[in-house]
Amino acid sequence: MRDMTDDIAISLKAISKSYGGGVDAVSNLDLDIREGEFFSLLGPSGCGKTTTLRMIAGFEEPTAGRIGLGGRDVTWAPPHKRDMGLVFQNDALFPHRTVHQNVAFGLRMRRLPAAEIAARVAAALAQVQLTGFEARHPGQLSGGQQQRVALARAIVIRPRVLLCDEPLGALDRKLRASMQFELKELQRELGVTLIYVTHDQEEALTMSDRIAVMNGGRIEQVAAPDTIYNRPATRFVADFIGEATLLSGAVVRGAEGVHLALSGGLRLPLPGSMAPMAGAERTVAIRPERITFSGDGAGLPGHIVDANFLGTATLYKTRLDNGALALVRLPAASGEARPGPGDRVALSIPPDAIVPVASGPAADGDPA
Amino acid sequence: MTTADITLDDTPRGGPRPASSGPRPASSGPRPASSGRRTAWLLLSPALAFFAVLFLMPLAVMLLFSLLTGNPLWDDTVTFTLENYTRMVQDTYYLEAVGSTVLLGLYVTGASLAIAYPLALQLARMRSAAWRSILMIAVLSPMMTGMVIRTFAWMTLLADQGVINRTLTGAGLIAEPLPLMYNTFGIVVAMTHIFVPFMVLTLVGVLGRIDDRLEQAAQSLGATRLRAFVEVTLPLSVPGILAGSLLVFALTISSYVTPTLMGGFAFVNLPILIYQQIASSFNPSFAAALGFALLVLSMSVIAAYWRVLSRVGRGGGT
Repeated sequence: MRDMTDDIAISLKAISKSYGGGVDAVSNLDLDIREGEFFSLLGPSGCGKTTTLRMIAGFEEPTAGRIGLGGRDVTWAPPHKRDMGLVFQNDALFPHRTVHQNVAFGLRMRRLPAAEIAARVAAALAQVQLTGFEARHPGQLSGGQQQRVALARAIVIRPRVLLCDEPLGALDRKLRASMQFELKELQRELGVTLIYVTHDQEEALTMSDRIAVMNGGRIEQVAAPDTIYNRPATRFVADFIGEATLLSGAVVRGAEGVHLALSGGLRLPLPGSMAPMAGAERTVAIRPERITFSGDGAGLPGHIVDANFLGTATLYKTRLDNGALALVRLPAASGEARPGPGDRVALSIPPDAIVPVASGPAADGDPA
Repeated sequence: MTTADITLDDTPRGGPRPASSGPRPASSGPRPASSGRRTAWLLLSPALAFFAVLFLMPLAVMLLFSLLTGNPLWDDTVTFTLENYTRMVQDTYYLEAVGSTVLLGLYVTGASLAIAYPLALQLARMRSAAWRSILMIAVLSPMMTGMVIRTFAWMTLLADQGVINRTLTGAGLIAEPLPLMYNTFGIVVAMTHIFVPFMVLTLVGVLGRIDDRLEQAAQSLGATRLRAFVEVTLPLSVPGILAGSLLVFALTISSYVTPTLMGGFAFVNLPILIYQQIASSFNPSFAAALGFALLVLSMSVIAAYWRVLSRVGRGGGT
């Protein structure tokens, strides 16, 4: 363990935060964020992600636990002694200061010589492509420009860690996509550790090196984006990230392999790796693009309830004969007769597409 | 004065620079633009009539009186003169009254600001709406009692034989009663008590609109809490400080009842002088001239306020 600490930028140990009134905003959170990593805290609103970020930044004190920054215990350090850059959802630029003064603020607080301040501000503004905007006031900039100034203001102090609280939340979709790219580029360029709070799973998946999916003040899963998507650890993760079909039943080991005994007598063949779970009640998740309609009628029988054309694909909502709902995404193909609502279909699910998920983060046994 | 409307926009509403009034469908369509203008005048007319009859006319009469030697209603030898104004400037007694008027305004404004600002900051940042309401009611409740009654209450507290002095002498802490009343101190105490709610109301409006994440951003950039306040919240609240100060200052320099009751004969300001000239000296012309002096004083403060505010509004403040 000792050899790992050099690579850990921030470590949260058994962090809890309670505002009184029974429910913890964050409970017993353990998290290690590596140096230079783009790390996302992802979850629905009220899951504790912003509270966690605010504790890392020093605006909230944890009720229990320790926060380490590069091996230093900063649990009780005030925000201005933590050396972290912060970007808010609403850019939080100082409206009474020019762009230059906004960006220079952190350097001025560090009492750097004027010449160095000027040089570093110019460099930071160049990095966010806002050279020439120095004399403007935040009110004279567009939303995207304001957010870039906020970013420049945070990176100019060369913080150990950059904390972003839904920084792109207020921008429109298109601007957001280009800012996501810019932010990721900038983070890679600077090599700064970045903690990114978002409720947008797409954003988290495209930008992050690792994601912590949070729910109800707890972490459901910490993993790389593809693992989060393809091997969701819990029912919540499977459901929250993308779309998933969730099926529950008893794991049964038979002569022809392992299968999940669904209600209504349906049988879903499982991967061999799930054989040790035989006898247990399990929930499995399957991504819609891994399911197809079988031509020969083999598979789980059901009928189509709804078909949504998505451009590149069609998403079918199907109801199995036992009443369970399943989502099937078929890529767009030309000249092929496509089934429509009401049609009988059989769902073919390859065993390797089936991922067992835990019902919650505290569930017994690690499904992964 | 709608002080609550002061914002930090680039175009201060009602400021010296006419705000660019946005797209107005003035000359579009066949309807003549004058029709809309006529409606505007019609809508304005009640206010204009009120203003003309109850403000401009009395002012004109006052100006006329201040330039006459006596009251033309019963004296037909009245002539025009500037004597009322020269008297004011030449006699140091009156200049001192102007001085103490301004000084009292500054004292009360300063004291109100010192008390109201921390209170308003706390109120504006209070998370619980219930507690905010309770505190707000507590701040505003003195306004439900008349000014005279509150002044009498202060007299029972601050008089030589009042609660404070009797307690202190009774406890043997002091031999002579402290001079708490019939001086400027007593007036400032009573008037500050009266005007703090005005200041709090004005400040809460402005402070409440300052995003507290701005201070957090400043802190994350290395500023201590105090520094973050000085660099961010304080400059952003300047419009509120100015508006509240203007309000309290204008109300203080024109106040009569409290300075009279709390000051006894030891204190003379312009309103007291004006009253004396009308009620005891029967010299309405000189009273009118003094009134104009007070008006010019107020106007110059308001003019200074707009100048400062438009500078802050343009962001050239710091």
